Amino acid sequence: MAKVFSIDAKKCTGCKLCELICSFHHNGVFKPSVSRIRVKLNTREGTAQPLICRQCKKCTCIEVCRPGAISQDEKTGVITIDHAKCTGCKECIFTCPFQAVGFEEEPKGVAIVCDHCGGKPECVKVCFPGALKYIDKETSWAPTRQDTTSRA
Amino acid sequence: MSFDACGYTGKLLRVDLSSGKISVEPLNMAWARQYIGCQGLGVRYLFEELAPGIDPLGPESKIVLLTGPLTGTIAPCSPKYTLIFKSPLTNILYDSTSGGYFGAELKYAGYDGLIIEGKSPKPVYLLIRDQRVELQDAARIWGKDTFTATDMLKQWWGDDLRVTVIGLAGENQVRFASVLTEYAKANGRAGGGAVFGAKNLKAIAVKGSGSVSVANPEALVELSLKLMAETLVENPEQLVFTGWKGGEGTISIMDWANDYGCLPTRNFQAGSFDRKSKIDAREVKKITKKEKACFSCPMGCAHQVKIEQGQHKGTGVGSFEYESIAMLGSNCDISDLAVVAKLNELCNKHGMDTITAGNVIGWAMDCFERGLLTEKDTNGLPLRFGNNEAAIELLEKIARREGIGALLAEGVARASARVGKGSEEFAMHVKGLEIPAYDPRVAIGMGLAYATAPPGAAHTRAFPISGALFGGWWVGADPVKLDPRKPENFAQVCIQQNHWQAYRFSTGHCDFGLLEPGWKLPELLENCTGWPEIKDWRKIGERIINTYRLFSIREGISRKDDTLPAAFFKKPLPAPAEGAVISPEDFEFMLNEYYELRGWDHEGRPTQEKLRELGIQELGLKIGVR
Repeated sequence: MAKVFSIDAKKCTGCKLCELICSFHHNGVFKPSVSRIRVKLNTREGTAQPLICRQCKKCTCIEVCRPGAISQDEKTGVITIDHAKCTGCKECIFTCPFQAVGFEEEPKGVAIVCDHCGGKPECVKVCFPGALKYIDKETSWAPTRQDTTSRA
Repeated sequence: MSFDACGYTGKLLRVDLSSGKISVEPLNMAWARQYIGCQGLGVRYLFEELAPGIDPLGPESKIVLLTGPLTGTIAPCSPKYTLIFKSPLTNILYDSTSGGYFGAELKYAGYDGLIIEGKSPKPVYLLIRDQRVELQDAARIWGKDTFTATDMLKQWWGDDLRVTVIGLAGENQVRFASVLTEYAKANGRAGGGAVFGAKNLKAIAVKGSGSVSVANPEALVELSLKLMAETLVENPEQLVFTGWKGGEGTISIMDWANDYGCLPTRNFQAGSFDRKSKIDAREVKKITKKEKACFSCPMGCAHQVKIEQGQHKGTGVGSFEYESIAMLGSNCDISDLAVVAKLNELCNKHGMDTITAGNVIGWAMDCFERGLLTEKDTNGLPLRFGNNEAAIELLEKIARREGIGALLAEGVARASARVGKGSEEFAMHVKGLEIPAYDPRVAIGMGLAYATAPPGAAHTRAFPISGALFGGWWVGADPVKLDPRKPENFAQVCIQQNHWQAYRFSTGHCDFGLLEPGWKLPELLENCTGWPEIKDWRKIGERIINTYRLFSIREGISRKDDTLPAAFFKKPLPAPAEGAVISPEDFEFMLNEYYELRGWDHEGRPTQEKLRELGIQELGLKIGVR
């Protein structure tokens, strides 16, 4: 069954452990700048908003990608960026309304996006306050999902 | 990356403000192996680089800002970076630690730390964006409060820039000015902000896009996740501080402090506060908007509060903590939580240490009530205990050094020396640093902890009070029986805790880091650095404490300074700890035992034998220890 992330920003404490584990999982180092989930902080108000790919029904990132590097799995909805094709033009980054596409400068400069860690997302494992959940798509209309609209 | 640099970037930025020259130099890895990072390494650097007797506010003083090897890694509760400087309050070193996000960001920019020297001819701020490091003209943010200055820097250079900045108090060289980072966290104590101000340095802003590598990443991740799960999922009752679990954060301390009678009240005249229920954890909960964490911390102990009604509507504090509430609240006899929040906000806004601020205001009120300060001295300000408006106005005056504020901006030691007439007896400080929010008469070993803490009265160097009162927080080894009012055994407990705390504060780890499994800290460090010998916390801690001491001795500190304010020896506390006082004999007993167990002589000087054991005999020779 297709799964999606449910984000409750009110529970997010801004610890950024998700960014640390994500970059470790994908790059083998602690490097938040290449994390595929990002926690946007408002340190003045003390709020935090996790930003991650929402597997949109109509993906503007796919539409704007001229080399055709971005595709979506029909079953799971997971977005994949083919790094052999990606030219690093950043159109997808600018167009994504949820600031969910990142950029990896090294080694060749490509766009990066959440790949769900093959169905077992690492970020969810380290989110102790429970701001991040990985749930069945069928239940994703639940109120917690709607909380993602409360931007930091 | 070389093996040696695991957990470190291996690079240090040196900024000479006088000439504007910025250079990158290798971190002294031999010292890093001996002293780790943060506190320990900073003390070692300044022992080497500061000439004896220099003016902390002069151009020859230096600021060292260092992270630890764990900073920026996934090791739980390890966001810390430390500012090390010669304190304008004490004329000896202070190492002031802050959490938040700045430390990790600096490391991602590629630096373990900075050394700032000289004095800029005009106000500047340091902007670090990976390899691009520049001194920028600070004319437009000089004179602005910390919140506004941070806003402006973020507007200019990006929202995700991490900023640490001084306010009016730092610019005016108030001796207890702090450096505030990201609106909420601070390098609070002992006047680092004044040193910034004296150097015409308004702020440091950093953005980093790099990474931190460690020696055994898989093992570090596995151990970190295990520790987090063990503590947070399987042992939640340990986590009284974990906000999102319903924990109350540091303000939970107020309950037991009040019950046992060690909650400073009316400038330490009493140890419990009759209106405590108006400023305790339940009340703080009501105004809490959000429980927040620092970088890499799964606990999240900070409370973001906001006042939503009344005269002080709109007042907000990013991290509302026990120490601040006790010192600005009960110690000044103030029981309106909105006013306490307002005072805390003012401290943040102007960049002042909340502990010293509360201590100084309490002392000034005490003087006023005793007639040692009159309305003539205070420009008509009726500085009675519990006068909310007066306290608020006084803080504004201190930040601006106006009228009576100029006197109090000097700290309680200098102010009382000037006022005289016996006010020195209730000027609550050790070595010039104001006493924080635990009255040591209730557990006399806490007095020894204050008297012997390397930088002056700090509560984070040894904390035998909890061990004495309820057997909690024992550090290693076999527990020793402690009677709160008897001097036996306190020396060895203080020493052991000194070593553990010096070690912990040199790694990037937080004081509250996963309280019990904090014992795995040496293991985390070994996985991080790949150095087996880094697990020997006793030896490294002892080396740091002795180096700290050697620096102090070079500045003239000796046994005479390892003491407490007269009030703790002379004035017994009222109920609930009725009659509690520290007898000079008990204190001497503890101090003698402390020196003896440390291998120090009667004057508190490390012996050459002890220094040889710690591998730092050449430091002793430099200052003439035989």
